[in-house]
Amino acid sequence: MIERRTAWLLLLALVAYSGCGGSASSAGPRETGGAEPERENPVELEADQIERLEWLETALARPEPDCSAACDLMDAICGLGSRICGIAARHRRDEATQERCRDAAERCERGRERVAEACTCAAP
Amino acid sequence: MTRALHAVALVCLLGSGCDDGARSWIADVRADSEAAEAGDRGEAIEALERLLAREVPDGVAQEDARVVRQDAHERLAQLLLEAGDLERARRVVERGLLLGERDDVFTANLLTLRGRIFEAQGRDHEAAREYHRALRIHEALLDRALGR
Repeated sequence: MIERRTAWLLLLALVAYSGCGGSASSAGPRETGGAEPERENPVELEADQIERLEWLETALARPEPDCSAACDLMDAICGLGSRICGIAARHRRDEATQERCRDAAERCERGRERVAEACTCAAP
Repeated sequence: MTRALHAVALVCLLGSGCDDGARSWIADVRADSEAAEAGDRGEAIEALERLLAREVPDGVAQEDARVVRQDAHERLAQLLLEAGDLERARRVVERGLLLGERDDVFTANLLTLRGRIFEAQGRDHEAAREYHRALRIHEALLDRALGR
């Protein structure tokens, strides 16, 4: 989970970025001798800011992971997957069980990745 | 069982709708549970059957009673499976699931045990189905544990 202090610093940076985005100049063409500078659309900038603020609020509201439970659940998921695939190995022509084995293996792998992102589990 | 009983006992400590009947039921259920843990297999089976035979008083919330009783069904079925009484174990699991299926560890445990019973009976296709159902519940619980 993103730390609250870091989140608030990001929020301040976001506000500063949006404030420095600047509005399109209503003045005539500049005498630059080259291509016109890129103009930023304030409506698009505002929409972008709103989206980023919503992301930030969601991140701040997210509770801390329960790693003890997560590790146990991951073990249970993968343990059940092993049981299913053990059955599948004995019944190669049972297509439904083969599919359950494939699905279970994917869910086990996905669970391991998700838990590894948030927690450190003790070795089995 | 400890987790399920703690949940119910906590309701009483907070005083939310826990009358004398409920307190008495919790005390009896706790005693039966402790007897099941302390005794040999035969004594444990008797204690859990005694627990499940106790009528749940009105003062106990339905969901609280469900988790306590489903946990007891799972423990009883586990003992019967270990004793080789597969058909009786399966019937106990069925009764436990009839109390209501939820995306919780109690339902997942009963489904897993039903899978093990089916596998012991040579009903592999059905076993895989039950394991898969339990796995999906565990995955939903993992979502909650990770705060998503």
